[in-house]
Amino acid sequence: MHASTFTPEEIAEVYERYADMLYRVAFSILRMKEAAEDAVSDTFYKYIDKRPAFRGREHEKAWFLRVTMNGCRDIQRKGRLQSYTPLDGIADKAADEAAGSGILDDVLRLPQKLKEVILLFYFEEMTVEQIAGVLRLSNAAVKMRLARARKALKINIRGDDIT
Amino acid sequence: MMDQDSLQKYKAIHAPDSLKEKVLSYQAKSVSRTSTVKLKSYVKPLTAFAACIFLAFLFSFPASRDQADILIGGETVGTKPYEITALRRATFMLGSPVWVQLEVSCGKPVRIVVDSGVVRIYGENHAVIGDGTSGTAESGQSVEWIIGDADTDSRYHLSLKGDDTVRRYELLFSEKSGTWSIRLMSKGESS
Repeated sequence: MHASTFTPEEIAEVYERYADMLYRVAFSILRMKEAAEDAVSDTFYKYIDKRPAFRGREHEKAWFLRVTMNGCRDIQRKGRLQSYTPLDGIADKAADEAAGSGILDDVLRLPQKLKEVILLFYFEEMTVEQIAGVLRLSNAAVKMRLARARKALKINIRGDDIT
Repeated sequence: MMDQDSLQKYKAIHAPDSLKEKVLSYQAKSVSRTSTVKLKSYVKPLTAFAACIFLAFLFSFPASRDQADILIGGETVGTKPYEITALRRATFMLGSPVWVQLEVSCGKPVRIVVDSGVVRIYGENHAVIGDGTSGTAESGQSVEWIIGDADTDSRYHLSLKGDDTVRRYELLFSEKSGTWSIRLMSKGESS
C-alpha cells in the first residue's frame, strides 16, 4: 500500500547520500558501467516503490547496499551482462582508471564473495559488524572471507584490526 | 593500509548523471501511479464481499472427512505459488518478521506443524487457543504463522496433518517479484 509518495527533494537527498557509493560497489562487482547503472537504478526503484521503513541511517545504508549487491548477483546469474555493450571511452574515465590501477585491479579480479567483503571493508571503510549486517553473515564469516581474500591478494593490510 | 592511490581512484568513481535522471523519473511515475491505487481502494471492499459470499458458499457443503487445505484471503493454496502481497513491503525491512495469516479448511481437526517460527491459532472472539511450533486447528479458524528472523535465502515449511493424510507447504521469497509466496509442496499419507 502506498500511503504517500516521496517528494522529488526527498529522493534527491537520498540519491546524493548513496548513489556514488552504490555505483562504485556495483561497478566494481560487474565491471560494466551500463550494468552497474541498472543495478543501482533498480535499487532506487525498489526504494521508491516499497517505501521501506528503517531503524536508522545504518539500517538504511545496509538496505541500499544489500539490495544493490543482490541486484548485481541477479544480473550475473541471469546472464544479463552479455546483453550490455561496453561503453569504452564514454562518460566514466574515473571508473576506467580505477579498474586499471594496482591493488584495486587485483581486488576486482577476486571471486565475488571475497571481492564484496574487501570492497566494503577497505574501500568503503565499513566495520566487520556493518558488513555482516549488509551480507547477512556472522562476524566470523566476514572475518573468514577477509582472511581468504587477503591470502588471495597476497597482501597483509589492516589485519590486526579484524583478528 | 590500503594504498592511497587505489583508494583515491576508487573514490573518484561517481554515479553518472543519467542515473540521477532515471531515478527521478521513477519518482514522477510513482506519483502518477497513486491515483490508480486510490481507485483500487474502492474496488477492494467489493472484492472482499464477493470473497465472503464465495466462502459462505464453499463452507455450506460438508468437507470430505480428511481433506484439509489452507486458505489465504479466501483462496485455497495449491501447487502454484500464491504470492502473499501483504508481505511485499515487510520483506524489505531488515529484521521484520514474516507474518502469514491463513485459515484452515478441513473436515476434521488437523494438526499444524511448522519447521521455523511459531503458529498461533485463534478461536472464538479472536482468543488465542494455541501458540507454538505446532497446534490443532478446526475448519474456519484463523491461524498466524510468524517467523521472527526470516531469511530471504531460506525456505520454510508448514505441514497439515490429518488422521490419514499430510500436506506440506513451502514458504519462500522470490527476488523477482520481491515478495513471499506459499505453495503446496506435497500431499501424502500420514506415517
